Amino acid sequence: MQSRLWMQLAVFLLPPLAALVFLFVMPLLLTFVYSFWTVDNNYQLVHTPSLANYEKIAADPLYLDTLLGSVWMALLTTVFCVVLALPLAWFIARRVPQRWRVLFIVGLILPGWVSVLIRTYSMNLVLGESGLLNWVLTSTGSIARPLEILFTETAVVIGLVYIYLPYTMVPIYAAIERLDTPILEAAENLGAGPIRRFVRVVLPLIKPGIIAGCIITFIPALGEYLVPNLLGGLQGIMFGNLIATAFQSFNWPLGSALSMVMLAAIMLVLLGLFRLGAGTRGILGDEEQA
Amino acid sequence: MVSRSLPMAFVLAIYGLVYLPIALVVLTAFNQATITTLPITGYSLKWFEALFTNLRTLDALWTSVWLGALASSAATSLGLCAALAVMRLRFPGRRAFLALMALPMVVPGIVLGISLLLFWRSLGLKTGFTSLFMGHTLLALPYCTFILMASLARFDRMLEDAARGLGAGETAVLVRVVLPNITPGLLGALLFGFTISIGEFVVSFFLTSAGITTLPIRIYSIVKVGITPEINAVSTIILAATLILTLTAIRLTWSRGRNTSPGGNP
Repeated sequence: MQSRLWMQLAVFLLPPLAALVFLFVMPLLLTFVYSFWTVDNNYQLVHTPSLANYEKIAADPLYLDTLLGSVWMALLTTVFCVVLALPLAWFIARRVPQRWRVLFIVGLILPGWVSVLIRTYSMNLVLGESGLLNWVLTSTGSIARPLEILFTETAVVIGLVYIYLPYTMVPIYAAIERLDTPILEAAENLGAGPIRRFVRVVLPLIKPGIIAGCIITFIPALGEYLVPNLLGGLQGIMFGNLIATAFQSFNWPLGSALSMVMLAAIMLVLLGLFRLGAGTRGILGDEEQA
Repeated sequence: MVSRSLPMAFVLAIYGLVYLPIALVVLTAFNQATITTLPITGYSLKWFEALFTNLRTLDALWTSVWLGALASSAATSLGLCAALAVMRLRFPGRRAFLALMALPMVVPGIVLGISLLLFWRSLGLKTGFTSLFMGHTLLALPYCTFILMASLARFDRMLEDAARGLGAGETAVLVRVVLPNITPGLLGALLFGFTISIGEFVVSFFLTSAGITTLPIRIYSIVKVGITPEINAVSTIILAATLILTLTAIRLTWSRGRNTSPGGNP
């Protein structure tokens, strides 16, 4: 029996495991190793391990400032997404009749599958100097001169909220849909007002969903490269752009070290969010029901 | 009345805002004018015509379609193996394997892209179609695996036991009982994989070479200079393909689950 399990594992587990190791684990490990190397003046790799890249990152305020700025923008994005997603999910899960619900939720998930590139540059058409927003505002006479939103931090955050809202929605919606109506009725019968009901009963119950929503929004937003690249200009730069710049200027070790710093920041945030949701398991969802 | 119509207005406003920018891309693709903004001066198909006479764009389209087909097939095959292993076999490190499978979804595209580039170059290989194929396969793999796991979870194992009881071997059970029953999941995984691949930009950006261009990279290189109606026409085609594929995939993987999923209806 034991040998049959081994054979089955070899047939089924080995190929995907090998793919993950070959395409994901080993490249990341190599990036880690690269981050301790340096380049000389001719952009030739120097294989002597050193902390030079990390020292450079710690010493140059550009890196720290950009990292903090990225955390701030990702945080704003997450807050806006959750604030929008909560009432939206509540409405769809609790107010929309059963047969329309699928239509509503698919309507929101669908844009999440559309190419991020296309959705990002479509924001260009809205926010640009001669974009839709300015066209509407100037032609209605609300403003005299076009707003200069594009190529600012504001544009990046608007773009990020637009991109990530569908992702934030899914776990929050799932949590609200699972809510037990009798518990809410019990709270109401015991005299709890709507605000108290929400804070004391609903919020603790849907907390895992909200935390999952925060995770899927904050992490990719923090690591975003394309959105600040297309909407941020020079002002709205994010940490991902610095990584790309290091690579494009052929300083691969520095770019690797910057990547490691970004991964460390993401791990920290993940850890914090998991702490926040301590006692609530099942981010992956499948074990929770069992 | 206010308490009923106000939330509805909020919800409709959100949907409007979500679809407005995409609608703008599609609308201006049909606009006669060269500017990519409102007002629409007249409808015309000339940007689509221009597109289909542009060899470089056509080339990129062809590359993207091939890449999507190959990467989603590879990711679905690997994902099927992974899903079968996780759902059917009890082995130590099962949870660790699942966590590893989920990890590429939380690592930023830029880090995935550059680490694959470093790895590829350190093997002494040139970037190009193969490296793109590898990258896209990695990106689609977690999604395909989780879709197929959900498919397998819904599948009634009694059927397998019945087949075994009737004398079917393990291979026959897999090929003639399990696979036909999870066909919607398999198709869904293929379509989602294709959708991920055809819209992917950041990882591709680092894994391409001068000779190979995917459609999103072509779009990016033009958008960086200035958005043109022609690019809106290309995007409209990708949008249409994505919407059709995703809707089909959602139908395949979701509609069946509605009846049995625990989060469904009381």
